[in-house]
Amino acid sequence: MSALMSLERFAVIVDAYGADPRRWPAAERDAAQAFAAADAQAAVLLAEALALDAGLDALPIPEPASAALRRAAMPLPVTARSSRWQELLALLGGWRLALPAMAVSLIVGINVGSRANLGSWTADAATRTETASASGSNTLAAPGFAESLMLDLESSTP
Amino acid sequence: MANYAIGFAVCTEWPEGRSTVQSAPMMALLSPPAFDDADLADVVLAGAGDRLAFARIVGRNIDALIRFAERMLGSRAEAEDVVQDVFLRAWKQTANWRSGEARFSTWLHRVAMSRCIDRVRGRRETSLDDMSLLVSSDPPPDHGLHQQSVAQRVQLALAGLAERQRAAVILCHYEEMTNIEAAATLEISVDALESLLARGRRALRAALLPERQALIGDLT
Repeated sequence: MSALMSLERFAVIVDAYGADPRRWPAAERDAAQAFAAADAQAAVLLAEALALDAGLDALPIPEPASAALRRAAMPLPVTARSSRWQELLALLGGWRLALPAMAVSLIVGINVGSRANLGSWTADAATRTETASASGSNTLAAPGFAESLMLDLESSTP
Repeated sequence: MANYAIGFAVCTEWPEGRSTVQSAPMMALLSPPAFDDADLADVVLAGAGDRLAFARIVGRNIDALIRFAERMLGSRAEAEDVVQDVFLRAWKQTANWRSGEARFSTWLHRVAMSRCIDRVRGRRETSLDDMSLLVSSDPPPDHGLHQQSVAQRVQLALAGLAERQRAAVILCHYEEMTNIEAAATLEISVDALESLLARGRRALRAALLPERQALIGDLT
C-alpha cells in the first residue's frame, strides 16, 4: 500500500475507468501509476481491465459528420424580404404609426379615385347617349362585358 | 458563482425561443467562466444572430456528437436526426446561454444524451426484446470478418447496458471526457459516475466473457 493510494481505491479507479492512465482522474493519476508500478495485485487488476478495454476498442470509430449533415445542422437564414419589410416598417415608425397612415391614404385614394372615375364615366355616358339617339340605337350607356355579350347574342338571334 | 443566474445544472429543459432575454450575450460576457470554454465567444455572437459563429460551434462539436449518438443508438440515420435536433435546439439556446456552470459542448452532449435515451425508450415500447435494432447492420468494409463479429458482439453488449451506464462508458472510454465533464453531462456527482461506470464495465465484462480469449489473442 502506498501512502497516497490504497489497493481499494486503485481497484475502484481501474474498475470504473479501465487500464489506461489517460482516463484516470487527473488528481489521482500520478499516485495510481506509482501504485501500479509497485504493487503486484495492481498488475492483476490492470490485466483484467485491459482485456475489456481491448474489447471496447474493437468497435469501429463512427465516420465523421458528412457535409450534408453539417449543412442540415445549420439554422435557416433569415430571409431578405422579411428584414426589408421590417426596415420599411421601422422607417414608417412601426405599426402604431404606419397603420393609421395607411388607412388615411386608402380613404383619400378611394375618394379621389371615385370622384375622378365618376366624372369621366358620366361624361362618357352622355356622349354615348347622344350618339345612340342620333343613330337610333337603344343602347343608353357604356355596356359592360356581360352586357356586350348579351347584346351580341341578341343580335345574332334570328 | 451564485449570481450566474439560471444554473446549467438545474435546467434540463430550456425555454424555447431566442428573444426572451435580450441582454443574455452581455451577461455571458460579464460572467467569467470557471473554466475554458472554446465555444463561449461564438455562443455570444450566435446569440446575437451571427450564423457564421454558429457554424464554428457546429464545426467544433458535430463529430463528437455524431460519434456519441451513433454509439448510443447503433444507427447512423437516427444519430443524424438526433444531431440535427441538438443543433436546432442549440441555435435557440445561444441567446439565453449563461456561462459559468458548464461548457457549451457539455450541454450539447447532455441534450444529445437525452434525445438518444428518448429514442431507445421509444424503441423498447415498440419491441421489448429486439436488441438487434441497436446493432448497426453496416460494419465498415476495412474490418476482417472476425473483427466484424467481435465488433458486433461488443455493440450488442453495449446495447444491453442501461442507458445511463452506456452513456457513461461512451463518454469516458470513447470520447475520453474527464470524469468531471462526464459527471456534468450526466448531471451526477463524480462518485455516482464511478459507480455507473463500474457497473457498466462489469456487465460488459460478463457479456463479453466468451470473446475474451479472442480479443486478447487479436490485440496482444
